[in-house]
Amino acid sequence: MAGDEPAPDGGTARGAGTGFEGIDWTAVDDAGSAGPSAAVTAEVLVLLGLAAALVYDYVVLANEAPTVGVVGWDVTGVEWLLVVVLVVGAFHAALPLARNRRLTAYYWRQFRKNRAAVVSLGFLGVVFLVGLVGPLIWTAPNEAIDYAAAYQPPVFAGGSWEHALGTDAQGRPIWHLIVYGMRVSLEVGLISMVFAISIGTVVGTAAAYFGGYVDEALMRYVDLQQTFPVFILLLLLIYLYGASLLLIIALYGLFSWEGTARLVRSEALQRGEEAYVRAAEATGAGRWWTIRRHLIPNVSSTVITAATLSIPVFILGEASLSFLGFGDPDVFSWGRTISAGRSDLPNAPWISTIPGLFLFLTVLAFNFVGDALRDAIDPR
Amino acid sequence: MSRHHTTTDQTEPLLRVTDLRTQFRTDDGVVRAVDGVSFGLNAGETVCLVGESGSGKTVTAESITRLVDCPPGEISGRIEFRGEDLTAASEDRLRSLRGAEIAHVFQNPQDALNPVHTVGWQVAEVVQIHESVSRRAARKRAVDLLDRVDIPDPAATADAYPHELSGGMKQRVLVAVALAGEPDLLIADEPTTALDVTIQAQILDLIADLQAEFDMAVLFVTHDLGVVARVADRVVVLYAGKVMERAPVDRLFDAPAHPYSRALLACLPGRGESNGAIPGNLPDATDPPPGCRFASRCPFAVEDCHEGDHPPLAPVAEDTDVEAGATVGDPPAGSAPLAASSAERSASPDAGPDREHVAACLFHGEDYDAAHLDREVAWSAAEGDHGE
Amino acid sequence: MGMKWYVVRRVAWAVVATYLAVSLTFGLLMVTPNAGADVAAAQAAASGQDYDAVRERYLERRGLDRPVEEQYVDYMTNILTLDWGYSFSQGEPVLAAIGEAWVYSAQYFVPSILISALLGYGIGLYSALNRYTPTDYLGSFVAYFGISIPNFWFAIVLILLFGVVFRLLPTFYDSGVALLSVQNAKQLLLPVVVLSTASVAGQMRYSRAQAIEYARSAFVKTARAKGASEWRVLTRHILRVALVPLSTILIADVLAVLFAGSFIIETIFQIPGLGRLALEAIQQRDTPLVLATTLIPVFIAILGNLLQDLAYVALDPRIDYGDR
Ligand code: SF4
Repeated sequence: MAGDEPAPDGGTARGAGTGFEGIDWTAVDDAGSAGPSAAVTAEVLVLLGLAAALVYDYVVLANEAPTVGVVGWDVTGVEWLLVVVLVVGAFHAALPLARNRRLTAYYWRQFRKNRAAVVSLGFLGVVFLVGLVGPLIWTAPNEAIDYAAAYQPPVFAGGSWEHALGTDAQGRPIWHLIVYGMRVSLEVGLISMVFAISIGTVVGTAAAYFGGYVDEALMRYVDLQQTFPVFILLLLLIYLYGASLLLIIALYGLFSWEGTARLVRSEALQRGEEAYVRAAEATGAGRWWTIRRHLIPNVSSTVITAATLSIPVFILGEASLSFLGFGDPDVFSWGRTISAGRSDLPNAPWISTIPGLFLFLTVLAFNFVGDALRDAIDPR
Repeated sequence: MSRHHTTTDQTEPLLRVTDLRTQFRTDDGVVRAVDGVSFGLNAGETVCLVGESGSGKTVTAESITRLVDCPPGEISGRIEFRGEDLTAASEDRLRSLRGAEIAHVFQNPQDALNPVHTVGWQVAEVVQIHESVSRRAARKRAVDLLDRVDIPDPAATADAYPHELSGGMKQRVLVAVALAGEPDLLIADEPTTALDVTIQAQILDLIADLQAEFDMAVLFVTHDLGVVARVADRVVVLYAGKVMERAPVDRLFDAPAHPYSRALLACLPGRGESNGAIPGNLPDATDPPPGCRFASRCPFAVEDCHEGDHPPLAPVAEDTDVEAGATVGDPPAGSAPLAASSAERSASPDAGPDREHVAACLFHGEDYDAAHLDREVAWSAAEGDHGE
Repeated sequence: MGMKWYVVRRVAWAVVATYLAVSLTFGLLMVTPNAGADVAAAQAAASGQDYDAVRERYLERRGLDRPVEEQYVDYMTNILTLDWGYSFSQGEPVLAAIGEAWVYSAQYFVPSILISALLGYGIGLYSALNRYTPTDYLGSFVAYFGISIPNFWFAIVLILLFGVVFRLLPTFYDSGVALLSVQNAKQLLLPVVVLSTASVAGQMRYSRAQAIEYARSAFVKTARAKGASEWRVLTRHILRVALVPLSTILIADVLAVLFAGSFIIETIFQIPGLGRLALEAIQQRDTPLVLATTLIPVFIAILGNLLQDLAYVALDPRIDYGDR
């Protein structure tokens, strides 16, 4: 371990080992506290640009023309959300990491100790890229129906390279179904996660910071939400309102943050006792300022781990719903593909098993990465 | 590195630790927490292991009955308890010793009791483990023991849960737990550090009383020289996993030989320049630099200090006392009970091994003159002048 | 604040939670267009009748044209008096349909809970005490596998292997088989394995982490310094303390995982239990049955939470009754 990379400053790296608490978040977030920094301005501008494009898409283009004409991509509501989530992620995760090289390098050294997690990260990178740009390259499954090519086995089972992973009952290439399924999983996992984690963090810190009746009320609500099984609530709401991907994502985001809220609350309660929060209060910092600048950054290692580990739960949940036939009929979720292939199991097992394998590996990879992240940034 | 007085004494010491090494394999390399420590302990005697946190004193104490987790820990060297080598003993054998012959009291009474059992149950547990007695008899013993450690209303307190007791009371319960097996050796690891000053004194008195009553030897681990002065017969000063100095307590306070011991004493409030702490940090435990472990913080360090191995323990000449006016040539004495005054201690004329005074510093070796250490130094400036 | 007051408060909270949950379902019904009426009207329209007239008659007959408060009181009274309505899709009262279905669900659900708890805790604690051994690594591997594998896909693969390829086990559930028979055990094997895999894995990970945390604690060191054997340390000290947090996750997480799983299991293995009943109800837009099958798991969850809170009283002397 020690030999392969010169540690330029062993002492500092060790110091940073206390986790995210080691960072001066005020410095990371913006340079001065007086006005919004370049990063914040840039983020706001990008988001405003997106909003303008959204309005343009819905008002001017309506449903007549694809949004991005060149590649024929008509951006849907969920896709808009995904773009927003990616922008937010870039400014709040990627940017601070890039700015804080030494800390990033330290975390990377810790993370790298877990081989399985590194491989998983690579796999997720591929899933991310393919899920993002794949639908622009490969035709949508419903446009690729070709009954003449039905039930082609994958290449390793005697099929041809033309459809390397085989085709389904309607002659759709399994690979196309997988690529579009990746997109769906990305959307469900990332968007729901951002919703759930944001709400959970805000509620958790608020409960811890304000205490008293606020705490009591929030935590009672959390109790209630935890009692009501989300999956059943989802079924009920889908029954009432009909299935759509946006609804599923929103419901997962809105009704599964209670675990995060609890975690963050107990973490923030501990942190709140610590000197710097007391000091911030003593200097007359406002409550929200204290929460935003001191409490939230310091529960971030808890939050990041919870975030990573919640993604696979959402992906699995959506796949289960789709499998049961309660998914969005307009998207090609892996769950739906697996379900559709069920009747052909004895004669064409690849239709169900190959997408299932991708689903399994994606979830597995998220779990590996989540655990390794916890070990790297939150050593106990 | 071993002691020079192996065969001369009339009785074997109760405990003899020779060249003890305890290391931990971690992702970042092998941490040598204890790196060749030797000392002895006679029946009924109190020996203090002193050092800063990270010096290896706790690991030394917990290595004796193999309470350190192995793996990842590895223990080597010899630990002779009544002549039996514990490093070679089976886990079963050690279990029968723990609690019965060798008992422990740990630092933080807040966490050392199991929160879901009553304190009476936890005292009685020791009796039940080591003797085949009925539950009722064990409980009766527990109540007696709680009474013995001066817990008011012991029968009622036996049914209390730890969270219902104060820190001082919990530490008394833990002392009762340690006494329950009537051990010959009590290993007390910073038993008073987490307590209020007044409670500290009470617990120290309690341990001293019980030591006399049960004729126990006590291995006392502490960083607090005030406690050392109060309880110790002899002192072992540890630094970075190595013994820096071994001395009878009066010799250590009157004529500390090793620069590290002097630094510790100088930082004691009311002595020397009392600015609290010795500047600098412990060396890296996975990959210590060559030479004396203390060299990076030592104001006397010369070039040779940064080379080779850590200096061996060498006898300290009687006349190399620190300052003029210090008690020179204190008459040697045999082992003395804990509560003995220093006048009583100097009664015996026998210069046995218990009076040995050794220090691991080049200047106490043959090639250097220990008088060099007597020049005035400013401890706080040590790092700036001589660091790295 | 004594223990009694605490228990009273927790029971009261369970009642309030039940009330809120039932009210919530009522609220959802109110804000949604009436599916049943639409279905009836559409059918009527198809057979040549007037859509709106049929729709209105439908609402009137069921008292759905009355003021909201009246309907609310009615609804709550019906739920309370176990008058849960008539299921048109099953052709019998809702409670009768549920009475027939629950036996099938319980057959695989109860063994799954037991297996989750026993196997999960057992392996988790064993791994914690034998860290860095091959068994521990194997356990961790199984745990990752268990929490990551989609249960519906796992079920399909197992059916493919054991039912289709090796022909060892039946591929679906046959409700004609006697309850206590080898054949019944055989056909329940795969459902139980599939359903408990995820929760066993979850319990394993959690109990392992808990046990490792406690194994490092000062009181365990005290116990070892007393000369206690590893077994004694494990059972009397680590496990006894770990039971407090473990009982929490058993109710909250296991129930949630198993509820979601039961829909999948019953669909794939064609078990005529509560999950299938619920799905059929949803597909056929049979509102009374949908509500009933939604409320039952909610009631079970509330009851489970209450039991868990009461378990705290028995398990943890430190509990601060005033604070909870
Ligand atoms: S050997 Fe050198 S560095 Fe070490 S204590 Fe003696 S003088 Fe100081």
